[in-house]
Amino acid sequence: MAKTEQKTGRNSGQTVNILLAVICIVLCALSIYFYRACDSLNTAVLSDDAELSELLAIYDEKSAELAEVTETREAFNDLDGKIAEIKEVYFKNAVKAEELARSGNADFKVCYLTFDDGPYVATTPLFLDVLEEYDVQATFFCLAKEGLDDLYKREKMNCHTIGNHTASHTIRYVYSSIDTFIKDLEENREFIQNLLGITTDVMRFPGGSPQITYSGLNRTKMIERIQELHYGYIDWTLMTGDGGGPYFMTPDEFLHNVVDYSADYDVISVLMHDYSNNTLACLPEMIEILKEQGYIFLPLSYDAPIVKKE
Amino acid sequence: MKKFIRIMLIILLLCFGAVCAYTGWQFFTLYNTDSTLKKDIKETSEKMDDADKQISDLNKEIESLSKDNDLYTEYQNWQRQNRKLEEILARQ
Repeated sequence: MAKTEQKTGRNSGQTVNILLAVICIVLCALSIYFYRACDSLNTAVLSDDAELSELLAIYDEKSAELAEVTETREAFNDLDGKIAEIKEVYFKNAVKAEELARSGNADFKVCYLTFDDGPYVATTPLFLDVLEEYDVQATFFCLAKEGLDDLYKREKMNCHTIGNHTASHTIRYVYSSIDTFIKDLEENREFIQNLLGITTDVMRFPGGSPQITYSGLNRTKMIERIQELHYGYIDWTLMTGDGGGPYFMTPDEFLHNVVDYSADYDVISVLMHDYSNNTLACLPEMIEILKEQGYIFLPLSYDAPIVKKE
Repeated sequence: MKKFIRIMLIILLLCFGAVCAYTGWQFFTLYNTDSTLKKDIKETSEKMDDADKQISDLNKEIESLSKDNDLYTEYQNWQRQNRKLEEILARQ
């Protein structure tokens, strides 16, 4: 009996040892499996991490592109508003540029090219082509002319300033009295407002501001009246001379009337007319020479220091 | 002798147990990391596809809106002129 019990005890002891050995083997096998699996997982994690970083970099670029495209699309919702915003910034910068040029602390000078009495169906498009080719902005002091809508629109589209030069430009009529002058001026403002949706606030007197006095009108009162209507006015620093008639001088003489004197100034406004073929002929060379003299070309605005307010 | 073997087996079991637990824990950590990365890759790819589609749709829309649109041309011209002037001023 005692022997049997002793034998049973030995057998159960062996079973426990075998069980322990089996568990050890299983654990060993599991450890090897985990170790190997970790090795391959680690490689996968590194590769996935690299792939994700690459994707995120591309996604950042896409997001930036999407933001840009969205902004461009949104701009269509209020193009007038966006143009007004950007023009405000632009003309503030233009004022800064003129002030800098006047102070002599700039490496550039400022030129305001101005064209009076247009638009003209035959010649204005050619002037616009030249300005476009040289990427130069100017100011067109327009009259109210029916049937030339496309030309006014093109001037506006190319970022030129549309100035007011009275509706009729008939010297005897517009200077017959201050009231008549104001009526003609406002008629042109309304014409341009209706056509382009912009309010002109820079004007040039037909014949220049001295014409007020030549016509026997009170200059001070006239200036007060245009100020009340929020107009600034400008005469000119230099001119080609094309206003005296297109055939009196050659293009070369027109050119030298400007470029021979422009080097003496920091800020100039040049009077020209967009009906003159001779001015058209010398305009490219004039722009090139003025550029060589250090000029940049700006369109006028009410706030430009060169525009007189009193 | 048998007792000695048992003690050795128990020590071995504890050692293998510890190694197994450590490698197992590492395995599950890496597994989870890899799953998260794969999920992120999938989500980012989907977002990219979505962004591509949106960009393509918007570009088509812009193309049709900008066709013969003087106002848009004017807006672009002002942007260009403003950039040009800002560059000149920045040089001073």
